[in-house]
Amino acid sequence: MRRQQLLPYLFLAPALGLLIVFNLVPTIATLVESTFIMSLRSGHRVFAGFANYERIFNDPIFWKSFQVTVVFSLLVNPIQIALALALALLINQKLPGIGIFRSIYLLPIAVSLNVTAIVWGLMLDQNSGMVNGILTQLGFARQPFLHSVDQALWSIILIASWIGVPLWSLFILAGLQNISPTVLEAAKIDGANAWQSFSKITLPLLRRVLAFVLVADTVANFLMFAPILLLTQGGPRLSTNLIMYETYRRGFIYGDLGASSAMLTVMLLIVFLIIGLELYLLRGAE
Amino acid sequence: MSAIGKVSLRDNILQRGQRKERGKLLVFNHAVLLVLTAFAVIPLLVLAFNSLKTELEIGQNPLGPPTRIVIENFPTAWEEGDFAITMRNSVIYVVATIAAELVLGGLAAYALARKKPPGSDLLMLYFLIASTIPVWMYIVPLFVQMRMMKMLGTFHGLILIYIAGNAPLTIFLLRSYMIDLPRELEDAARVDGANEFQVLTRIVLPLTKPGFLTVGLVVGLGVWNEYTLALTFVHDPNRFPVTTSFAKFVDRFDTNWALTSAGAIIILFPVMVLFLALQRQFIEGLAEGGIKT
Repeated sequence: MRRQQLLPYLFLAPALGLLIVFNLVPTIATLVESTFIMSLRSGHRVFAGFANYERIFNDPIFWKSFQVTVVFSLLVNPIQIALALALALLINQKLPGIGIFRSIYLLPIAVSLNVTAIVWGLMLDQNSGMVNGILTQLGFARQPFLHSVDQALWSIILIASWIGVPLWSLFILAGLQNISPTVLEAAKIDGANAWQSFSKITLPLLRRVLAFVLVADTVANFLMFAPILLLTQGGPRLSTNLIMYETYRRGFIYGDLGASSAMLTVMLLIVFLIIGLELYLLRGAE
Repeated sequence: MSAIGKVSLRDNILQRGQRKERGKLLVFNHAVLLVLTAFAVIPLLVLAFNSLKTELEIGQNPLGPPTRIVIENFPTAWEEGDFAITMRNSVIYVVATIAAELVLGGLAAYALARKKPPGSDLLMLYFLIASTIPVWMYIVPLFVQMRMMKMLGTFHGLILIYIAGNAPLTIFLLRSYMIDLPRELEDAARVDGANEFQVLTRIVLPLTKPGFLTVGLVVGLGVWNEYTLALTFVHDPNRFPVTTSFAKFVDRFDTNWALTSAGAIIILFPVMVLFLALQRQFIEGLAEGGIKT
């Protein structure tokens, strides 16, 4: 009986052990680091309480990056989820040739964010980029895209969505395939039109999946980093300085680990809030 | 008989009215699909086209298909990127991570799905949180720690980091997959005298195979495309993964687009083939287990 009770912990031990050593301990170390500061007088790290937090909260660049991140999130998440839902509904239909569409569509998921950023950087280039080539063909003026304060963030949204839309549509598609076709057929027989059966049957049945996608997408975009590092380095004029990049810049370019750790801690708290939202949404779905 | 007749008659009336509308809808759907497909595929086409052009031609014609197909970029990129070495290394990282991940994650998921020991809910919450922690959150302390453990620059060091990083998601997906399996089979096996280990290996594992395939693909894709951790924890070129080969072409001040594109295609090709081949099972795996909690 005793062995029976210990067995599950034995099964959990290897995975949990690795997580503790390679994930939990260094994460806690960063939380601790956020309360230390490099002393200029002695050159040693000294305990500083909340000094790092005071520093970042009084720093306009931190708030600017926070603001950029909020604007980015409010734009990119609804766009990606709406398009992902539309895409999933389209490729879930039994249309002729849909298998080929579905395969092509999901291809970007296999591409790394680094390669994606590089290719889109090439395509959005002001002079030789493909997108400007098409625009001039259609009689529009050339656009600066990543080099413009007004367009750079939108360009990042476009690049992030190239992977994001197919990725999240995959989860929604999986959810759609869980819906029994007989339910939808029954609704059709009872005279429901396409919009009614979508809003009254499909959408409520997708609620769990959509709650998951909403939160996972929000977290992923909140931590968006690679395209910024490779394409804009936060510019022009901090217009794409997302908070993840700001912590990197602070910690790894300027070597201010205290401030960087404090920012990471703040970000982690925000991620906790987003997860709390997920748990709340999922509870409502049951 | 008459009930069936009635339904099909009703269907026919409905269909006749809807057929015209349905035709319009089909055209509209295909149009939207085409636009979205173009969005998905054009960047990949540009990459493929440019990998077959000379650097000179890319300068003059950065958009269209190559006027003259040049395949020399591929052997050159392969040589300059040391792909022979990095491909081998990436295969080692991917295979070792997937193998260990599926064993450790499978055991943990089974414990959480079937045994539910006290503290399970807390563990699930921890896994949920851990799955969202970005690498930058812990990379600096982890570096110090790896140096102390003398694992800096080793294959197994990086693999252990990958296993840990992917464990939360793996456990989540596999657990939700296992929870849906009928318990009766396991109970029947126990009645017949199977021990816990046999129940796991003979009953649960074979039934969870599609879940393992999906998780294997997700984890493998992530490790194959991973760059930041590899660059931080490996310094010996003999142990670099493929992503560093790609970065080699990009990091230079003047990017050679022909080689960059060829390098990207070399990296993408194996994953795309695998992804396309297993796509159906992958979606089914997600549909059947992955997305429930």
